[in-house]
Amino acid sequence: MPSCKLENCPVVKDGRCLEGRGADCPNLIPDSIASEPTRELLASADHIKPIQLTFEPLLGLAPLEVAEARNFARRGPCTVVALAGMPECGKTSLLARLHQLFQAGPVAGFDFAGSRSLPHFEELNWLATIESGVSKPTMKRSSTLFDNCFLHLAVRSIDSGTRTELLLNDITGETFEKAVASQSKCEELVALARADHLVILVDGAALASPILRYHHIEQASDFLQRVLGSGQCGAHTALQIVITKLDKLRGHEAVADKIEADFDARFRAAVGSLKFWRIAARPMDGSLPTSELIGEFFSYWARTTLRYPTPTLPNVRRDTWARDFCRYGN
Amino acid sequence: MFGETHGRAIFVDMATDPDQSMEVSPRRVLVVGLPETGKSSFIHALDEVLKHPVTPHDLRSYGLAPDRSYIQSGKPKFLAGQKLDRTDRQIEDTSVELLFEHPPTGQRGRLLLPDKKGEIFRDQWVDRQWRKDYRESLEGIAGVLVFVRADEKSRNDELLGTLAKEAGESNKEPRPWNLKDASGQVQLVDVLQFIVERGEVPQPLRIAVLISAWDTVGQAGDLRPRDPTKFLDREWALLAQYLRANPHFFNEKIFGVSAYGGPPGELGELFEQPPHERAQLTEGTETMRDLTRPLRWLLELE
Repeated sequence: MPSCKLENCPVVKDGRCLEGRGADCPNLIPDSIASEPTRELLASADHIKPIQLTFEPLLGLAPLEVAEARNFARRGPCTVVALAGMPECGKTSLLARLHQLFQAGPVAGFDFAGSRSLPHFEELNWLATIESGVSKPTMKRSSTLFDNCFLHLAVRSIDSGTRTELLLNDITGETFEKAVASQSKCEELVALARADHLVILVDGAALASPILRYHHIEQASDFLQRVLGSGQCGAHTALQIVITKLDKLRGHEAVADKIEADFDARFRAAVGSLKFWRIAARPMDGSLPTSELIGEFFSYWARTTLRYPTPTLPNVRRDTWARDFCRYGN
Repeated sequence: MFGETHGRAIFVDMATDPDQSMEVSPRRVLVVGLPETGKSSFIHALDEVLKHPVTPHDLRSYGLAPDRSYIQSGKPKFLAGQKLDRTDRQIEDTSVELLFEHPPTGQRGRLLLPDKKGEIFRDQWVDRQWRKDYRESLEGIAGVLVFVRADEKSRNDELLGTLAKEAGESNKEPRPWNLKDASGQVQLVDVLQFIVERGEVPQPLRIAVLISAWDTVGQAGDLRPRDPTKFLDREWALLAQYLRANPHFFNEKIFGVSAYGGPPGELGELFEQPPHERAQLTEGTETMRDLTRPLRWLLELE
């Protein structure tokens, strides 16, 4: 029986894939590998002597668990960004867009410096590529399994050379709604309490619809009330309200203006900072994504934390520091 | 030292030669590239260039290795300017050994090249595992030759702008996600992450990026940069950023290389030239015949 890289996948018990992908699931570990770490291969007909091959695991496929994320947090400057919003509000599109932007070049003064989540980022974007054969670009739905997990992205400032580890926590729309409904569900979102940035995404297409508009606004507002009430967010939090799908909001900008004014009046005093953004990560009207704005938005994550003071480096060249210590006998 | 346990990668080994007064400690270079990125063609061209040095100081061959059966099997096609057959994955012994000397330093070395297909690196990306002996073989390597192609896109194309707008609803089922379909530069970056984060390699590690099929760059209407470093920045941006952003891991140089001098099978007037004169290497704005330059830099021979 094959096994799975995801701990709670039942495939090893009953053969059912947790994500419903069957034999094509990339997390599936084939029987031959799963059952024994060492296997024998016959080289060829000319070389009958079996060769003993031992395999070692490399970086995994699943997003980082909390314990793994802590390792990154210990390495140096580390920023945690929690993204939350109603189902299909555009969280995945935003993450996929960031990955695509870095594939095209540096983003807002930052070079891509590494990632533990490259397979996951690539998968996010698959159904929006020509190679997938999809007729209309779509996004993979996030799994509630990963509500307390992180995508990792390391960047390096081109100006200062400072490296920052970013841990991106994607809270699914289903969990977002449950957290509004239940305090205990909300408190299960442990990553929120460590988040430097809380990003609430509001679906621009929903705002354009009088039927959906009020529900979406209320859910975003109630979620904020919930996390502020529980203490998971507060003065240490940089809050960002992001209105997505700008292409579908056209003609209803006044609704967005009103929401921003309302949220500003209600929440600015309760958080460390509050910013508003309007983006289109994957417009469907023939226009191009608001890449520059998304880059600016991203750079705010990479440059800002309110959790602790950012030390200011002395204005001397780094290679002179060692000499200062030499004076004391080293 | 380079028996079957190292059969999954391509190594350069500079070893002490008994006839040589100057002793050299063994040093190895790993060659990395996804399938069909020009590794085999480069090996064939390198063999020819080593046999025909241009100046007295060039790295050169000082004899034939005892076993050249694998490289000989591909020679007729390479010398005829034809595309090589893809490396047969089932053949375990694909080793190519080239002997070379470096006149300015008097050093002699062995080039041992088990020419495995690029699937080995793709398998690492897909299976998220590697062979223990491969990992052990990384210890103490002098550097890495990384191959990408100038005539291949580095990432998947997105349905954006008018393409997204015009895309209609259809019953056509998209292909399910498979890790093999990931963008080439993403796969390559992850393979390099494995090497520097899981392998015990020297830091910073010298990396020579070889952009193969370089003869396709700069033709009429081609707006891509003709400087290999700028080309990588634009066309393989994620890889370029990753190398640049990790100076503690990497010390990199970028080259353009054309093992045939033109498209295999369509060399035209180039057919009149011997193969070692067709091969070209570009560094910055300078183009030369000397394909050994990246190796000399990796091995700190210059």
